[in-house]
Amino acid sequence: MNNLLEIIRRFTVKTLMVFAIFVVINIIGLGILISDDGVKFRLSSHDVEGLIEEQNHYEGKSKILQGYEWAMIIDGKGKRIWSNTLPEDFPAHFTPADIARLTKWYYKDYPVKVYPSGDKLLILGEAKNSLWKHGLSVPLSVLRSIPVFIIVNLLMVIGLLMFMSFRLYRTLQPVVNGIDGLIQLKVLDLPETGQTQMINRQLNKVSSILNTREEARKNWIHGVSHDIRTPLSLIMCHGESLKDSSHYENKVIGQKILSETHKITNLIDDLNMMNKLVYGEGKLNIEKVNLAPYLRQVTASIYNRFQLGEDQEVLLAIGDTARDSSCYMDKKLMTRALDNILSNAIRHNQDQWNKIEIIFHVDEVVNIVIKDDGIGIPEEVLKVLEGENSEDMPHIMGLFIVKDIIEAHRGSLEIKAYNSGTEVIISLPKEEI
Amino acid sequence: MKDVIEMMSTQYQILIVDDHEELLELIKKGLQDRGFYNIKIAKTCQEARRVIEVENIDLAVLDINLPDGDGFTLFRHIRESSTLPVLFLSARDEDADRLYGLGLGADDYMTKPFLMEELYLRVQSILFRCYGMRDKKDSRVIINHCEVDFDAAIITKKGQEYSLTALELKLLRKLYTNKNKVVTFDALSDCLWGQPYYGYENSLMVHIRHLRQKIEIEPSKPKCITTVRGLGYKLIHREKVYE
Repeated sequence: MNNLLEIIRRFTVKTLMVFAIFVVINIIGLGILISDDGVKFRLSSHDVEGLIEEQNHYEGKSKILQGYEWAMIIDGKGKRIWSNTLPEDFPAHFTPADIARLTKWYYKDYPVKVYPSGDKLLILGEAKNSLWKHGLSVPLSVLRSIPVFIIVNLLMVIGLLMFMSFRLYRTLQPVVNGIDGLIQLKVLDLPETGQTQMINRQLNKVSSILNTREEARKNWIHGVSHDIRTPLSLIMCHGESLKDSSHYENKVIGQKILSETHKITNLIDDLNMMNKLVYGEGKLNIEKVNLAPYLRQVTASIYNRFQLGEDQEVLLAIGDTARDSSCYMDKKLMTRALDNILSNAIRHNQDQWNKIEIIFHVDEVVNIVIKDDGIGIPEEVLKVLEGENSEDMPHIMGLFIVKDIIEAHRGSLEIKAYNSGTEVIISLPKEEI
Repeated sequence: MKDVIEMMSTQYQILIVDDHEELLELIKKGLQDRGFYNIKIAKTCQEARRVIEVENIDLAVLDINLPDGDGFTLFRHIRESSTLPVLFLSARDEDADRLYGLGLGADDYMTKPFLMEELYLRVQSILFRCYGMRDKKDSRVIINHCEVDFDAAIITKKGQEYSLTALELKLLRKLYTNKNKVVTFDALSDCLWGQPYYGYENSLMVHIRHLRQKIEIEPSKPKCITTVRGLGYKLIHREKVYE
């Protein structure tokens, strides 16, 4: 939406600029065209006097008369005392009325310019239909208010432009909403009328296609998840029977079956989780969680699930300022994320670790740092997590899910690899999301 | 002393409803192995309704996706005429399904795949809640060479009897119920006082110390009730039998 407003704002500004430039160019051009500097020699009072006194003998006569059809000089009594290529129907004597007409831009349809010098008049005439002149009588008060008129007109132009821009914005708004909706995988139903009906129709079509695929994908995942659970239950029951048997080998086999079944169950859960997070199925169940007891419970569950060696320890360190801190989260999802990180630290370090530290402290954000002294996370895993793709890339769906969960909580996840361990830094906002 | 496993009372009749025959048989066998001998099975809603009408069922384990209906509808039908405890056991793992089932009034909801031991424990828990009967093996046990009688709140160590206070009894029962697992400070504080841990740290430590004095052979070097740094306590216990 902001993009659209920005586009319209720029469009309006550029239109105004173009308009202003054109106005200025036109004014300048018009000014040049209508000015006396056109192709004609600018007459000075010296030239007027000179021509009137010396007439044909005046040195600058040709230059002065260039561009004019005819010229004449009338004395104080109205008598024509000199002329140059004068039309034949011009009188030799001009009455005051004739003089008055002369001063009104035209004489016998010839545009004229009148230059007085003493009691004489120099009159220069241009070709008929070569110039348009108009006498303009403007009261001074009106003249003084021209700037106001200009400003008012400018404001009206701007207002009109803004109004048209707003109309354009309104017209395009459903299109932008539609594109936003596509991004969020919503089902679109844009009105297929008006100026953007073609675009709206196409967007509706795209939405329908995407939605159909989306439903098929969701149903497939649900189906797989659901249908696989009963066979897994059978395997688990048999595994448990073997594990409870008195025969040692059966016990070992049973334990292995249960362990692998758990892995498959976790993979199914990961698939469902990914479904929810990436494709937005289901909302977060946000609640306020008191973090110290919560983290203790998460850590305790790790102890209870894994058989740790005597010299192995998962240590939770809670900063003094963090004891009473709380955070808003989907507890189930966040537990999943933390459990995944801790389980990975235990499993993938393959017993080559002694301590996993969970450090919890609060400053502007909630910080949960999980450090282990194991073998370190492989570089390829970090690259994949950062978005790099390759044929041999390790499959790390679990870590992607952790990342998605943290990001769904508007937090951040950072993983640092060292030679002697890995550090996972989770930052979460303190305020409600 | 010799190791003996006390069997659960065989009086309870449990109905299992699932359309998957093999799984039905496995669950039946699993519960029978754990002392529930009276197991009835049904593969459809209609069959289940008939069994409930005819037999005196004490608890029903219901699948949700059934060939002639669903477990939720069956449950509603059951509830119309009885307060029979029900546990849903389903492949439907969505939160919505779980919440719906529990919201209808079911006593528990488990998703497949599951551990038989977990199913057994949850069934046992529901039966205890509803009928007050408890596995006898839970009332008198051997912990760390001591005889513990939970009902009488007495620990007998090397022939000497020690009475447990109400809080000590609660504490020991909580730890024993979660034997070999870490129980957090918060869980213990909640169990004893219904309060958050902060503010009760010292009180908890004191009660643990008193309990250790009664149950540990060498209280200064506890082997039974161990501290898990920063988290809570764990009761280390190997199954022995009270003779």
